[in-house]
Amino acid sequence: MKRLFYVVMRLAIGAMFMVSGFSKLAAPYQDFLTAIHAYHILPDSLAVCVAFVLPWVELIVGLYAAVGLWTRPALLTLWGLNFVFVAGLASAILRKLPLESCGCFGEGGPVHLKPAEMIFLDLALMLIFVLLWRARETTAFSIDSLFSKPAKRV
Amino acid sequence: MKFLPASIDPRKVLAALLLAVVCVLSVYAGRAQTTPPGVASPSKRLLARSKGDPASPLWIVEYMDFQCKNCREAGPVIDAAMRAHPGTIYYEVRFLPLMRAHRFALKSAIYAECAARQGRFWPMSSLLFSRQAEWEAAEDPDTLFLGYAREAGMDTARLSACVLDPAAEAAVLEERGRARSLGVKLTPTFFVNGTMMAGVQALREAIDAYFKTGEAS
Repeated sequence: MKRLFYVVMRLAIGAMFMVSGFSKLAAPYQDFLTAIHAYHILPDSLAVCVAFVLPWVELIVGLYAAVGLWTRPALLTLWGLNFVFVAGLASAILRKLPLESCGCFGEGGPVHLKPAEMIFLDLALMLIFVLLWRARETTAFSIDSLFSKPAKRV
Repeated sequence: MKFLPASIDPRKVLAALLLAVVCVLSVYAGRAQTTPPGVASPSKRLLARSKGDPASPLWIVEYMDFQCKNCREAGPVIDAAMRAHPGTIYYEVRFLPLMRAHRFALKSAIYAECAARQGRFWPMSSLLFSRQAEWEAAEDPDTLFLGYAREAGMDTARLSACVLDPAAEAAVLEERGRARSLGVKLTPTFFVNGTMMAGVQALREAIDAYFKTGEAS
């Protein structure tokens, strides 16, 4: 039962990052760039890099976490991203930026959460990350467990 | 796979590559549902209010209000830049009716939204700006707007039905909410490759800077 809980949590986290990445990638990158600029944190050139790269990282690493490929490095990467998101959202809230949508799923994405709502969701995710990190069962029903026997090197 | 360190399982590397390819293909398949194929593009609704190719390197998004005097100046500046640098600029208009300052801001935006739904946004936009003094002085501008629509070659019965449809107003107000969430308070406000700037002069400088240095500032 506990094992199943961890698998579901891993799938949920992976799926959430995948949806977030995909919704940004389906829209023009400038839409996400606009959302990044609304935070007034990154310089222009870095914001462009982030707008290009971050959605792909979210999608691909989210998929790795969901299917359990390099599960722990994938979870660690997503935890790092989540930490950065929490910091950005907290900074926006503290500076009282007039953001009605956090832009976490892209400007034209399917979900529009206010920064204060998103920060709660991200903090809940942090808790799940900690639980998954401590659990040994994280790799149940995963590609990692499928390939747990050493491969015959060619 | 002798080039891989012993600690890395080549099967996992292959699986990772395969999954990454699946991601790339799924994104491109998703983008193919929109126009033009293979390129991330705005919604059809926004494309009806745009000029140029969404794949262009310089994106200009304008938040505007038809009753705003300065907004009239933006179009010619962008048109001139598009003529001078063909194929390099994508221009898109989004609504930000300043309802407290302009009594017909919302109504004019709804007419423009409905014009866009008939593929006649640009002629209607041009008439709304060129005859701004006329309709903003009117008691009830609907008759004038319908006259402009006829001039712009629109089906006025369809236009009237659209204007009365609460969905058209909701769409405009949603866009206004989006603008507010981005911190846009004034019109015209532009996002040039994502960088926000207010006023036509700032836009002119950003376009000049882009074509001088290749970067929007």
